[in-house]
Amino acid sequence: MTNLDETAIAVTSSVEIRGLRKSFGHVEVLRGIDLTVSNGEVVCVIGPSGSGKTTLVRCINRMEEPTGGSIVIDGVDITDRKVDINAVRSRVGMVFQSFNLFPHMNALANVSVGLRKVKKVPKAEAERIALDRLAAVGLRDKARARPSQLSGGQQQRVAIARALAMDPTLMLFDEATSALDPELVKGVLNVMTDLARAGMTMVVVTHEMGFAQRVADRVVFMDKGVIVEAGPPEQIFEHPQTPRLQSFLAQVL
Amino acid sequence: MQILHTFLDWHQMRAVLPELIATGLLNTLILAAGATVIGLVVGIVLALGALSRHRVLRYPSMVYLDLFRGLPVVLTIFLLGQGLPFAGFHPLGYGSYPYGIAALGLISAAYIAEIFRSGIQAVPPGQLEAARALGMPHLRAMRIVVVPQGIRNVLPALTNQFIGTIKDSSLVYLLGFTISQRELYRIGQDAAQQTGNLSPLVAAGVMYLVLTVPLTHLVNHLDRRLKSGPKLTAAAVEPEAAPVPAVSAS
Repeated sequence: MTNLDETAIAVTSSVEIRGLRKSFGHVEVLRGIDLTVSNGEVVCVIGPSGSGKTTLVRCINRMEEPTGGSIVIDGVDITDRKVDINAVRSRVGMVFQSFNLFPHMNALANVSVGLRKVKKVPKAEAERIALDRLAAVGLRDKARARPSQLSGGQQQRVAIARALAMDPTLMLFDEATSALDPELVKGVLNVMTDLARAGMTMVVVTHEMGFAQRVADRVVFMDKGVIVEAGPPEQIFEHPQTPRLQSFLAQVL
Repeated sequence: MQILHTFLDWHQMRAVLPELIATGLLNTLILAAGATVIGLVVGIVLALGALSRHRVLRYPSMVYLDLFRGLPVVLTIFLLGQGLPFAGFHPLGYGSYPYGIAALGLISAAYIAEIFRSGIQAVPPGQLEAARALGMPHLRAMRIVVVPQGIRNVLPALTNQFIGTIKDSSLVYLLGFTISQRELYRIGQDAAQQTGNLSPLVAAGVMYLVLTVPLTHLVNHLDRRLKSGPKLTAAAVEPEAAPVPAVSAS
C-alpha cells in the first residue's frame, strides 16, 4: 500500500528526557519523567486518560513549555530558552489526534507549505517532494482534494505526509487514530508501521494495544504523571509487574 | 394626495435624479469605499494588536477600539474632520473631503478590527499549533494559516460593516463640502430645502436602498453558504492566492 520501506530514513534523532515536570496552574501533570529514546527506536506510550502521556509528547517539541527538567535531542537541550525552537520543530514531525489539516489548502498545499514557508524550498521542488510523500501514504491521487473531501483516515495520512515532507528525524504521534472511525484506523496504523520499519525514531501515544505490541521496541506505561513501568512489549503485555499496569491491561485488552 | 405630493412627486424626483446619480452616488461610493479600504488596513493591524501576547501592542489597540466604538459617529467626524485642521494639523491638505474619508475609515477600522478579531479567534487553536509544529514562527503561522481562514469566516460581517459605512457617509456633509463633493443625502436635502418638497430626499433614500438592499441579501447568502459547510473557491486553494492583507512576516 505504501512505499515508505523503500526509502529508508537516513538520519534519525535520539531523545533524552530527564526529570521532566509540567504543571498547568496548580495541577502537576508530569511529575518527573525520565525516558531515553535511541536512534530509530519506536516507543509507545500507553496509560489511562489524564495520565499525562499527551502532555509528555507535546513537551518534546515544546508545544507545551516544561516547568522543569530537560529534554535533549541529539545533544541539544531544547528546554534552553536560547534554542531556536522553530529550527527544532522543523525536523520534529508531529501528528495530532484531530489531524489539523489546513482546510483552505488542498492536500498538496498542506504537505508542501512547510517546505515552502519554513525551509524556503522553491514551489516546483516543494510540490515534487510533497507528491512523493503523498504517494508514500498512498494518496498521490488525492493531491488536489481539499481536506473536507477526504475521509478522516485519509486526512490523517495527509497529515503524516505533511510531517514527513520536512524530512523529520523524529516523529511524535499524539493519539493519531483516536478520532477515527474503526474501519479507518488500520490504514493509518499501516503507514505508521511502514515508517517504523523504515527506521524512524518515533514516540507514539496510543490506545491501540495491538499496534504497540507489534511495532514498539519499547512500551512505556504512564499513570498520574509518572512512568510506572517500561520495557519491551512482551514484558509489558505478557508479564506486567505492577498492579496498576495489570488492572489497566485488564480493562483495555 | 397632499402626502403623495410631498413625498412622491415624480417631477421633483426626476429633476434631482441626474445629480443624485452623477454626483451623489459617486461621492457616496468614494467615501464608503475609501473609508472601507482604510478600515481594512488599519483594522487588521488593530486586530493583530488586540490578539497580541505583548502588552505594548495589545493595550493601545484595545484603547483605540474602546474609543472609536464608544463615541457617536457624528462627534468623531467633527473632532477629526474639523478639529484636526482647526488645531493647525493639515496632514491631508485643506479640503474637508479627505478628512471625511479618514474619519469614516478610522471609525470603521475599530469595528472591522473587532470583526477580524472574532473571526481569527473562531479558527480552531489546532490550526495554529499544526503550523507552529512545522516550525513556522508565530506571525508567519498567523499570516499563512490562521488569518486566511479567519477572513473567510467574517465576509458576511465585513459586508454588513460596509453597508453601515455607506449609511454613515451621509454624516460627513457636516464638514462642509463643495457642490461637486456632495453625496446622496446632501443632494437630496439641498433639493428638498430649495423646493420645499421632500421627494428629492425620498429619491436619495431610494438610491441608498439600491446600494444596500442587494448587499444585505449578499450577506444573507454568504451567511447561508458559510453555515452549510465551507465550500472553498478555487482561488483559496493555493495559500498565496488567499486574500491576506499585508502583515509582515517575522
